[in-house]
Amino acid sequence: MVDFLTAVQAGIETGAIYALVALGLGITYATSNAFNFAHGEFVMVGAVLGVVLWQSMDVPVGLALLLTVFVASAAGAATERVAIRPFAAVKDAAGWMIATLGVAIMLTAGFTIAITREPGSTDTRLFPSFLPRDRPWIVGEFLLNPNRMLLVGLLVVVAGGLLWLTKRTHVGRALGAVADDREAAAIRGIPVNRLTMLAFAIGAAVAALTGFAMGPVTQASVTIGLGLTIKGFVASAIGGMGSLGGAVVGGLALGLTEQFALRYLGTQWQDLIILAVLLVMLSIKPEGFFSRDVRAV
Amino acid sequence: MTTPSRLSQRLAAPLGVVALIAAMPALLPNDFRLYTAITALTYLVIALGLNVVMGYAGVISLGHAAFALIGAYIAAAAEFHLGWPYWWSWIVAMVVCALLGVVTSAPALRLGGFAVAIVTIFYLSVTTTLILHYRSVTGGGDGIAAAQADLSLDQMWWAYAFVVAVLYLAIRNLVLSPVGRGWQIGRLSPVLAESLGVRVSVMKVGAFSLAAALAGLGGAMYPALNGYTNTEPFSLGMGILILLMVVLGGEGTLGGPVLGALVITGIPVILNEAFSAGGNQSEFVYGGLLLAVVLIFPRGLVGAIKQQWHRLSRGRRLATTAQPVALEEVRFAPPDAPAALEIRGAFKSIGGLRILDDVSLAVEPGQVHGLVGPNGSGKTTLLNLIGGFLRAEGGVFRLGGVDLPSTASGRARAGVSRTFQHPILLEYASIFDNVLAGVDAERAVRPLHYLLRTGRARRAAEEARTHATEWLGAVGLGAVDPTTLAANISPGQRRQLEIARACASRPRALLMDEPAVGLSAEEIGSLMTTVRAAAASGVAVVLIDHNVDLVLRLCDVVTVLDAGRVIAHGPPEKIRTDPMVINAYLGGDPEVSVNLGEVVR
Repeated sequence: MVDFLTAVQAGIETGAIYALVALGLGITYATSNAFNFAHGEFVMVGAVLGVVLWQSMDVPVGLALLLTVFVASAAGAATERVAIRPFAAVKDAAGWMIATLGVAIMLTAGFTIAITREPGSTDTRLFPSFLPRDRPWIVGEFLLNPNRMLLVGLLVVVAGGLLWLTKRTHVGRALGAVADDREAAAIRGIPVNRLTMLAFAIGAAVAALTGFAMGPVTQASVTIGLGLTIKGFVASAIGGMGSLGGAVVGGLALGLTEQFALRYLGTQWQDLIILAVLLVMLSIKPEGFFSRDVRAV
Repeated sequence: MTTPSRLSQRLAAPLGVVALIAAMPALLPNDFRLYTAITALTYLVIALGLNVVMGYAGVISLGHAAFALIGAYIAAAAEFHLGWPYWWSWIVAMVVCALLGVVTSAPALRLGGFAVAIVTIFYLSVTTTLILHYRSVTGGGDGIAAAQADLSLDQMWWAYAFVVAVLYLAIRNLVLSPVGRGWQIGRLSPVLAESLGVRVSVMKVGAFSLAAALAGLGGAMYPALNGYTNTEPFSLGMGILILLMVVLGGEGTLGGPVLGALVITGIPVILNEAFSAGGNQSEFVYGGLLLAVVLIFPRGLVGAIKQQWHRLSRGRRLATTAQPVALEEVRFAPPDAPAALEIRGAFKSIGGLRILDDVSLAVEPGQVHGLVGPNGSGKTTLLNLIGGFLRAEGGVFRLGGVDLPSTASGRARAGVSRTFQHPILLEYASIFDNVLAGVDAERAVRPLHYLLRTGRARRAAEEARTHATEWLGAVGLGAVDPTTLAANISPGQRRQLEIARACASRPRALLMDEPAVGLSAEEIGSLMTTVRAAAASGVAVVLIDHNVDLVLRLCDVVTVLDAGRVIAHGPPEKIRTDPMVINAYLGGDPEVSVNLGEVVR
């Protein structure tokens, strides 16, 4: 029983990361209908740029976080301008897929070159905890790690924030209109392109926040990007592409599946199980559990 | 055709390639260079397949290296454990990967092309993990030390180049056949493809499976060359490198992967030797190249070269203006078995709103049946129901007394063809090729015949070309240069071209969605002649148009819809003075006697 609950706990903790990635992906997918292959790279930027600013350049931690999120959202907006918008008119998925993949590869390679310049340095940097308490609390048989708890908390805050944005604000409702029907939104005078760019900036900001928050748990490695993009996709596909609730549920479901597979079957089966779940899911319910009734935006 | 000069012209390029392949070992005296070139050939095998699925069918696979990995281990393990000759295991690898390709792509395609891309990446990580884990079969991280093929490096080059040449020719045959056109039309417009009887998802799964088989072969060629294999070469980086070969060279062009493989193999050599840079620097360059190429040359280097060539050679050759069609010029081949189209009790609601309510109509072969009604009366919905593009909630749809299949492509194959409100044409293909797409709907020969370019496939292609020329003439486009791009013809000619394409599939029923929109009076005259000729050949025609006058003049029978219900039905003379119809259009007093044709212009 303790074993089971520990797996549940670990599942929720990793699932929170996947859900956060899926949330960011969801906003950009809903508004642009394009899947951003560079999304995971913004998580990487959040972790790597964050720790470089904070640890190597001695920027105060709060300012480092702010700068990182700002840089990432600017990069997100730029990605929309360069790699998504040119292909919006041509309804062919191949264009933006290759373009965003190009951006992803350049970001990984660029950051690798930048941080491995000094001899002897690797592509992973140590990311110390920025919380006042780093040691876990011991509750009965369980260890509650504050750094991991922070990720779950961040998920709640980000999901709540996005919900508030889409339901309660003017900008959020305009984003929703773009997600529903770009052409109709454009006819009503909604600046479709600028809003799509904004969605990419928000998505990248969420990604960078996630990257910074997960730093103390996973350390800052330049190679995590594409893997997270994929996990974010799987979470979205299970939950429902472009749906807010779907991203959260899908992310947590993915985290739990992964942890159970790891605990009861072994590492080598982990990815295979997820692949099987994904393929079965796509076969029986390609629109995911939450289809697009509850839009991410 | 085969005068000596023509023959030598036709043989010049192939002979040149053969000579280059034969002489390559002499040109690359350095063993390492030759080895690099052979490795590039194995990459090229994978790239040729990726170009089929990505460039023609429009489905991207990023983890294509997964199939290469599986192929490599099948070949190495079969040699090491069972002592199989490589030729056998190459075939086994292709078969296994083709099957895996079906299992992978069929579910993922339901969500969209990008889902395939990601599922394949997953495949790669899963396969790598499993191979590293089952050490007894695979040797784990150390890999398998299989025997090298018993050939010198020169012989190896020739053998591999031979394999690549054969594959190139087979793919060329396939791409230039109805199968290749089906892929391209499915990528451009699934709706158009379905209307021509192409089962888009089946075609895409087929393309993916073919690409997976080629990737398996490319991987299986690795241990024979290197004498061992491990998981290292078959990384995500390899998948991306091959993607780049296709994109840079030109996706959807035959020469693209070849040129791409040449350039991409060259880059690291140049970076290493000229800038003594490698690894991450070349990756950065690759990423930038991907981005730059899709933004600047969507069809890669080959596409850019072709475009320049086109501009230089026939930039001024635009279509002539529309010529009125004389009735005696128009000769439509009759359908094999003329049949009546019958719809009884069709129901359809969308989002709780009833769009069609118990609509029935019957169209005899040879009849033009007009469908009119105010905006929102359900005309287009009805047309989509008949074509199978929307699913009806109730009702009987029959052609020649037989229930129609449920899918659009099934109905197209049963003999229901259509044109579109906004013509959907292959804009950058010639008008000839556009009609050929319609002729293909008759395809009677199996894909394998096209792949091998058998006598039957050649005869079928010859016949198709003759038919396409005839149909262009039949709709009055005979005077236009058949190589003119569809993008360059007039709006009236676009309508004619769509009719030619629809009729080329030899339909028994033809659905026309507002064919006269945006046409001049003369063009409408030509259109009417063409539609009458189509009907006269024995086709049952259903036609929607807002131009009530046109419908009343052209059609034998007219059905009027209002708010999803049939409010009048009969010959044009009767409809012209029907009070219910006039009321629906004018909302006025039904007692007032007006002539509808004059009111609604």
